[in-house]
Amino acid sequence: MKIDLKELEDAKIISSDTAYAIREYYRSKSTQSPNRLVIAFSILGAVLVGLGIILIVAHNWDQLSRGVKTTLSFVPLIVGQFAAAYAVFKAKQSIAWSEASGCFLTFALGACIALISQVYHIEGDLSEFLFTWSVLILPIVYLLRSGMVSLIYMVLITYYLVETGYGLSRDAFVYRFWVLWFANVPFLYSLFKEKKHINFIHLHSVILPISLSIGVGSLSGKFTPLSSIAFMSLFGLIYGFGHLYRVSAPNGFSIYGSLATMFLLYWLSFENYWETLDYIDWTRSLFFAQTFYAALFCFLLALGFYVFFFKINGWNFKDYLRPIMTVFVLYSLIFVLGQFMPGMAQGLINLLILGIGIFILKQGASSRHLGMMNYGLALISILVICRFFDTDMSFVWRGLIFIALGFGFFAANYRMIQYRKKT
Amino acid sequence: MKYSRSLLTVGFVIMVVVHLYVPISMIYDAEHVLTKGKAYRFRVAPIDPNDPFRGKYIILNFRDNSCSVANTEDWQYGEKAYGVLEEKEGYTVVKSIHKERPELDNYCALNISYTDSGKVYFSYPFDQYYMEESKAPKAEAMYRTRGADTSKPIVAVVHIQNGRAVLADIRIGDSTLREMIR
Repeated sequence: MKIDLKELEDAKIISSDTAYAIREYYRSKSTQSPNRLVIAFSILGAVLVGLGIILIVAHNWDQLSRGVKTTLSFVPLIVGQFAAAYAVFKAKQSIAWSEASGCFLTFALGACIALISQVYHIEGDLSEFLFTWSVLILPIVYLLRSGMVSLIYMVLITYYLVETGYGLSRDAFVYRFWVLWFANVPFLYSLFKEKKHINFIHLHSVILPISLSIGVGSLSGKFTPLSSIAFMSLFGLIYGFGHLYRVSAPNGFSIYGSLATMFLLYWLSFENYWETLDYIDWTRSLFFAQTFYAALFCFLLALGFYVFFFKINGWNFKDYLRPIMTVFVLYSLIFVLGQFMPGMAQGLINLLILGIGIFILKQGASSRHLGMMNYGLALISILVICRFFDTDMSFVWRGLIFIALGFGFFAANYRMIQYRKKT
Repeated sequence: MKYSRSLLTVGFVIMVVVHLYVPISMIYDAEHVLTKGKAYRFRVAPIDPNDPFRGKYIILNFRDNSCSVANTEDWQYGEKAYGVLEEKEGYTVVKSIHKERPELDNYCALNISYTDSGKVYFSYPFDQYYMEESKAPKAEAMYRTRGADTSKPIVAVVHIQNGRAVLADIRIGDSTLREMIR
């Protein structure tokens, strides 16, 4: 919208003071607002140079003596520290400087530790290296207020967890992941609250749910089936957060929450899951299992979140309640039922998916939202396809159902497009 | 999130000091063990994986990787242990393993792998030997072509002081591995 302030001022619609204030506002905004392209390229440059240094270091130069190698390993680190000092104390307003120097310092630190580990063949595996590196870059996140370093940090600690928290190599230091995760929360809070760096918020809204899911996965021990409640509650929570924190209509949180919930529901809709279920022994030993507390904690957290969510929305279920929001509660009930009547539980999961599909399809059709309508159709189609694997249906029937589904998509989309054209 | 200038300065200085302290202390500790520690000779067989961040290294398969114990059920996979070292026919072997740090100088940390017929099998924490990227596969190939040449066993020279170990060199007969593939 282009407004001629002079014209408005002459027409006495706004006062000269207001016109001046508006001009000043936009002038200051244009100087403050970061040039996104410059920021993006400075980060890209710093990341590439940083990664390049790591690769050169990884060559492991045999010609150089131990002393020369160790001295050289400090050069990028010191350059990075000077750049960071300049960004913090001189170029205070420049996001490009903070982000680029933060990224460079992050990679220089990794390269320095890696080179010294190489030179001395220092004992310790990849996970120890990732842990040390993550701890060292955490202050960079806060001092330089760098969204990119925060992202790298989240990726590193998640990688650390994958190395330590899963499989046979699972060790006692899994809790470190959570300590490191929560250590970044104050920064994340300010990043999400200030809403200045929308791009970083979008990137975090993809990385954070993935990292949390991997985190909750690592908590499953004895009574593994209970972790499905932990996951379902977590996905519900992430989905709800996406609706509470509306930085953009569909955002990483709500998309991830929705897709992950549906994926898990499809998985649970197979007979296999309920047949081979390691049924819970409802005795005292349950209360000593980590998985039980992980599931309970996630469930209560999600429940508490939704109480808060609907409270601030004036208990207006009509406008704010989405089908995905109810899944974790319904699933928990079905899970308990499944311990005694697995067949019925499996049936109910299928009905739940069908219900969600129909609801979204109906909502899409009534609001003339093509994407939503297709999402609803896709949910129902996937359910039908999944059931093919369970049953001994003949190929002819399967073929006919696929054709019917395909025509269903065409017909629904065609009708919707025709309707849109008319209106 | 806004900080005062003094808080920012203090925070920044602490960060820089910590960033420098960690690598310098790594160098100091390793140098200390290399100069003051006693050298032990372990018999090894190298293989060649690589690490996405730290480049090419050789994994050393230690020949002497087990120890007889009274009760194998006391030991679990992944458990940390301490092995007391002794010389046997010119090479270092683990004499006994303990759950607690022994009050001796000749010991090193171990990771328990598995147990079998009265023996506990373990891995040493100094089983990675970094080499220039083009040389690590050559070293492994050389080891393979040597076949069963036992006249010149491959030996890992490890300096150990108060349980801290630093891998110093890989030797084949009188020369080092680096010299042989140069």
